[in-house]
Amino acid sequence: MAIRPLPTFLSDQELYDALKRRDDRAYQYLYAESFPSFRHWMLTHNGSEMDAEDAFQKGMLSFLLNVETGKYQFQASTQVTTVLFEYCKRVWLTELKSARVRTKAAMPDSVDSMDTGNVVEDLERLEVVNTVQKSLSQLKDECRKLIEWFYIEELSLREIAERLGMKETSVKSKRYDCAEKLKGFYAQNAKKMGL
Amino acid sequence: MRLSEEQYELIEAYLNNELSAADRTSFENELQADSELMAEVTLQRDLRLGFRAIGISQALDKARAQYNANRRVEAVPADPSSKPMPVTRPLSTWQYWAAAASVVVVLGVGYFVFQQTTEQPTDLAYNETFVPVDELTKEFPRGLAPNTRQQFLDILKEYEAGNYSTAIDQLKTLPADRQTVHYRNFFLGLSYLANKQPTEAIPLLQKALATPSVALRQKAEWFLALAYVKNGQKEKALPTLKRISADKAHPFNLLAQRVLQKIN
Repeated sequence: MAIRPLPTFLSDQELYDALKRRDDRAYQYLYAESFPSFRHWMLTHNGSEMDAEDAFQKGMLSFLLNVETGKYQFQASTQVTTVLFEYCKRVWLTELKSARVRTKAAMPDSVDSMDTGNVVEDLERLEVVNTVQKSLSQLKDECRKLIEWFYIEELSLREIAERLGMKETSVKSKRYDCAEKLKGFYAQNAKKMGL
Repeated sequence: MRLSEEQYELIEAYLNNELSAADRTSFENELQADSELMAEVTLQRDLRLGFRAIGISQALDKARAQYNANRRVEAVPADPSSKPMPVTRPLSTWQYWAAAASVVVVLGVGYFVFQQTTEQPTDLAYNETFVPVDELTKEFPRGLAPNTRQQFLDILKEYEAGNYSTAIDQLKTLPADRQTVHYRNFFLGLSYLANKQPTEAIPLLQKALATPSVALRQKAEWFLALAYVKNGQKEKALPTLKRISADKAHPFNLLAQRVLQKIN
């Protein structure tokens, strides 16, 4: 993979807007700007490298989902990187707290009193996401691709029809069939997961 | 509840905010009166949230791959005029790579770990579904025909760029002769794992265990254990993870210990 210079954004608002439209360069920028400092923070807060990557992934995903869905709105007074850092930090502290509860070990007061309501909600939401992912992988290749192309890559029915050499109306019906199959897998998996 | 195609389209239009104000109100009234339909809308909303998150996750995979590629190139800059992303430390002394998976990462599959020499403190950088190409080329079957080698190299580029679906499609078209079958199975299994399809990865990685190459077999068994973990089959992963954890000579020894710690 060729090296690319770090992209620049003239303002935080510009970065936020680029993240909202899932701009590759904005993602790269945010990753390169935020991961090293978060990693450092984790290593000084009882975390391992694996924990750092884990919490960073979850924090990034939660944050970017909230950006796209409008749950997190741009705030001129707070830097995007600062908000992301807070998301990742809270993921880690919440998981640490949960692990300590499981092992009945003592937690520092500062963590015990932390309001983790939103983080817990976000993490539960990620369980739903995980279940969708698993269900998608249970579909046969043809269905999985069709669903991925339409719903994830956001190709139009016409583009998919061209790829498959099918009529657009046939693709539309097939999408419905595949979506129903996916729903079946999802319902089973969600039940097992207690969602 | 089995939806008709029309109902499916209607729910989709509702969730996409594509209904007129009047139709929206009418549909919402219907929802209030029909709990089964309401449950269906909630389910469809969850699925769409999942699709969105998977899209974000794929974009994140690419950003991570680029970040790590830049870090590696930064270590040995080929072009002095290039301006790579900032790095935290030089990587030129790295001796080997290894991989680990986090069992709790939301959409993650494997964490690929790079360790530095023993002269320096252990430094691990985790790169989900990212493997340096030079490490994968090391396991190439001996005496590969130039065109087959080039095909594998092209696929490796797709893999490195995070285009796992493309890598999978291309690997499937490669003929699996006696010379390449084990490597192909391993690489295809790894690509499925990276693409968050552990169910598909498992049988391929199992087949790859038959390779005569010890190094490739060690990788295959490690990724197979990770695939089991990601597939919710912890009990099948445990024997391998325990064995690797107990074998200090195994390249994934430390990582297996960590994953065991995570899942226990």
